[in-house]
Amino acid sequence: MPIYESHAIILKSFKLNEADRIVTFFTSRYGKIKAIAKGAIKPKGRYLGRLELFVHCNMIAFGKERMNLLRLNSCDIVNSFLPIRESFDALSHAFVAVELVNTVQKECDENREAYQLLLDALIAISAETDRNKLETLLRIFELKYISCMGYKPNLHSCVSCTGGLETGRLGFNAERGGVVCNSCNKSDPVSFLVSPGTVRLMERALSTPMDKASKLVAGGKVLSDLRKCVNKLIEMHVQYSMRSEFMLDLAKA
Amino acid sequence: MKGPKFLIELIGLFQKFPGVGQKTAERLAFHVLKSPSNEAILLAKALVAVKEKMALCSICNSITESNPCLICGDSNRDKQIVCVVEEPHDVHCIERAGEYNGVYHVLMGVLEPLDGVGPNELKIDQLVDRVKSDGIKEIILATNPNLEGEATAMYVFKVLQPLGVLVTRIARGLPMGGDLEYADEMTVSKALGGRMKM
Repeated sequence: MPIYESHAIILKSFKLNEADRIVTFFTSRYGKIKAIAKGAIKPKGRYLGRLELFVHCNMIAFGKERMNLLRLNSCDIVNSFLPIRESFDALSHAFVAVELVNTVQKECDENREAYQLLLDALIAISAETDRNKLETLLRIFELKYISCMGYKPNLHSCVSCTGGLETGRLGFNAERGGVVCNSCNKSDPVSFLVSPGTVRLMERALSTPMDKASKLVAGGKVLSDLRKCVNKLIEMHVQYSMRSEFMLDLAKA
Repeated sequence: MKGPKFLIELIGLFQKFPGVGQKTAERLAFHVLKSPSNEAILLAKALVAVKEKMALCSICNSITESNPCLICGDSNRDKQIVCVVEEPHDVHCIERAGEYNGVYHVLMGVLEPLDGVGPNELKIDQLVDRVKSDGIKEIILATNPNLEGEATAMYVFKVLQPLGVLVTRIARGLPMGGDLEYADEMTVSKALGGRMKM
């Protein structure tokens, strides 16, 4: 019976019955896997407090190969991201990041780059308190994550006419997967206007490691354009509208 | 499953209860079968009464057979202190301790962002109305100390803060009879943060 031992981030955790939980781990070695944690809900159980969302842990599980549900044997916390749990703003942004990964990531599909990206994003979110910066970090994470999953937008040439991008008004077409030039934008009913600053920020975001992303700054217009571009890309490629987005509105209210 | 029709039906119905598998359902059904008729009739009557006569209290949303509930209608209770809980059965958990003399407000759930459960699905607006109209001095947030419970507590605090009411959170830390060795870092950190003078 194979043993699965890996560092992991908890993406989802829900009650199965009166005593047990089913936990979704995003592991560095095996990708997304699910495991049943026996006795996780008991008030003095060994898993109590360890199987919460966002927890970065070292987990051991076992089960037969090709089994969808493993059995959790141990889970030791590496980082519980306490600052995220103590701030509603940080918590709201972390929920959206984790939901995206849980939705897009296929089970047992190893992706160390995506794992590291999520870990770096949670570290960055837990270190940030400014709401604008938190949202910038979240959007940069989303952009980098969907790029890492193979949906990288084309930001260097017009996705409609393949010509160069002159300065001035630019458009963004998620269906075609990138930026459109001014002349194509006028005749394209799907694209919407984006500022050149947004395109520059997206370029810089894609070339900057996630752990350095907190240095990137986005103003109000650039941030709202970035939010629109990333949301359209997610809707287009993932065909899923994020359920936890309402948390961002609650944080702003 | 083969067997007498009514017995199979009863086993099937018991199996719908949370935490009851087929074996337990069979044991329960055979227990009912063996027990005296009057006990089975009492059980049936209690089941019907629970569904027909129990309702939610219009003030606090806890389960009651009279409106307002016995706690909201009790003049000896301190109506200026409201303990906010997730579900109606949490009221019974706190009442069992016998330490609390205030009243309750049941939210009927918690924020569950990954399942799309937002504040509109909870009784938060009703709590805000109570704070505005009932002269409440203190709100005790007693949602579960898990991520969803914490998120809900933080959100309720955010909503109530401008109203000037004192908002407190139940203590978090080590359980009685627990063991430091098995406590996770978060629990130990909360236990140390909430330490009290002896």
